[in-house]
Amino acid sequence: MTTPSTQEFLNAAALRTTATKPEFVGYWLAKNCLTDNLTPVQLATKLATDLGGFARLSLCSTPNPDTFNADVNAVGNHAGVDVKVLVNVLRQEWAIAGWVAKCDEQAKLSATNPAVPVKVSVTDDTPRPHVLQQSEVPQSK
Amino acid sequence: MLPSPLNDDARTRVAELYERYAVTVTDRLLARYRSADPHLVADAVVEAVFRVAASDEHSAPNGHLRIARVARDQLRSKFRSDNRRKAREENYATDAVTEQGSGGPSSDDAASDREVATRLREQIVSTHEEELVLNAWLDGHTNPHEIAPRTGLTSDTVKTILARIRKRISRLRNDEMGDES
Repeated sequence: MTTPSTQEFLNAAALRTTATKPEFVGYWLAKNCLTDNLTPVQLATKLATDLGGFARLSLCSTPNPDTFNADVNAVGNHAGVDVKVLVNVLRQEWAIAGWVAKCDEQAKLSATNPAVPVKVSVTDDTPRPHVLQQSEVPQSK
Repeated sequence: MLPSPLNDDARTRVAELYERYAVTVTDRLLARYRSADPHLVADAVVEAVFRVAASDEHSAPNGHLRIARVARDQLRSKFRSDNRRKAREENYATDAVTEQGSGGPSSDDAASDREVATRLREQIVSTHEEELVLNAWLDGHTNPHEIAPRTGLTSDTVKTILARIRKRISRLRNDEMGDES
């Protein structure tokens, strides 16, 4: 058994810390690990990087939806990851977060007003992995 | 009007500070606090990187010093709370043992005592010279002229180190009193 290096301890700490901060990419990566039942190493491999690059990516700011392409390219290139996969991961997790928030809101409404039925549509609102449109394809590094 | 995009620096500032300084600072802290849990040290360094990145000092040339200082303060505060928790647990355990009329401390308690003592010592001394002076002082030698030949240091150096050690002990004691009040 090898002793973990300083870098390994730091990678783990970076992932632990950012997993609680939605303003950092690490939060969405942690959520994606749960959603897709992946380990950080597996998601890192999917993003074409190692755990070091994954930790660096997790410490970058979450892209602003209004300037998404520029931001996601900047953080993806900085961490040296596959930007297309990162775009899909972020969009998928944002869609799920939006859907969950919507359900919560409806549940609250139903709790305060029993006349409002709890309605969870599985036809229109079900999150699906985002399919990249041509205009959204980020510039290659 | 569209909001202006985050500038390059803001998007990757934390990651850049982390890449540049985290390993160096962590290695230094691990060397200083040898008995500390490396996960705890790494957490403190990462948290310090976040704090420095959010402050105005992120671009200062001595960023690693700032990160090291913040991380060290966090670690010390963590150690203090750990020590207090352990002391509480030990008091509780001692009371329980006394009530049961059982014998001396268990090997777990003894190991815990040694850990607390090591941590306290690490908070008081940070160099080999300071350790030598502290050992001589704990042996009952209070005169710098007596300690100097035993440690191979000059009397003036011993005086300075003793003053530093007393100051740290006093600070630790004040912290403890502040926590109790």
